[in-house]
Amino acid sequence: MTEFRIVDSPINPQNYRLTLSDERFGACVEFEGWVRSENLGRKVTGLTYEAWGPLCQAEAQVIFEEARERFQVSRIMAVHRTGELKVGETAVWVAVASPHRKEAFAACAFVIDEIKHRLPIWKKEHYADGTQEWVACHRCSAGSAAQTQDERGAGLSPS
Amino acid sequence: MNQAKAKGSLEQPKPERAGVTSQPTADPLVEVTVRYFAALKEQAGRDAEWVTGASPDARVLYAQLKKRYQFDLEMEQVRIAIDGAFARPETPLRSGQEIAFLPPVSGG
Repeated sequence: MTEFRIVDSPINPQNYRLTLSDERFGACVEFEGWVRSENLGRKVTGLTYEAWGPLCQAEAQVIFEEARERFQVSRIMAVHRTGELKVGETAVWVAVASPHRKEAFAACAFVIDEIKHRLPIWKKEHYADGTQEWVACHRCSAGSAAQTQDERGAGLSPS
Repeated sequence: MNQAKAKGSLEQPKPERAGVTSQPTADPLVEVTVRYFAALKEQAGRDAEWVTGASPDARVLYAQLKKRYQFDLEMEQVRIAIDGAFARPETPLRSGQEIAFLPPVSGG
């Protein structure tokens, strides 16, 4: 079972956790990303997330498949918010369930990293001084932009 | 269930028609749908439009649109999706395709 969802209302992990459970599994590792009040020294009052649903869905399935192959985990679910978020709200939730904890921890870390770097989701920060700005993930702006397997396979250089 | 934010969603755009070339070139005209997101959407003032022009590939098309809308982002910072799948910037364009320009992502 793998599932990715984009939602425009508050994320409640309780709504999703049960779908991961299985009597063969001894571990469930969850990551929850919250909106924090400061970024790079600037006071943040809230975020706006925009996502391109269809491509998010397709790329998320590629990420999940990579995670399953690499870590031999069974069940992965991720949910990402869109719209206006206040400080403290949950922007993203990822959960991985598997028989043992070690691979669940590793897969969960992998999935959230790849979600941040590869899914067509954009974050605008709203600052206390009234300004706002679209931000880019560090790895992307550092020049090694997220690339899909297809692009790597096609021999694309990092953009 | 998998819903994008309404104004960013792909359902039923109401594109405007716009030509992007001001001078004749040897390249044949293509008519494509262009989608914009995030900063590009704001700077273009729209999330989608029909574009007719002599644009052999997405890289050339972006350069034309960057000039028109004064996009801040350089081509090297923008990723391309053609008909809903990531694509190389130099992929030849055909009429009827949907070309999406994706600013650097920042999910999570």
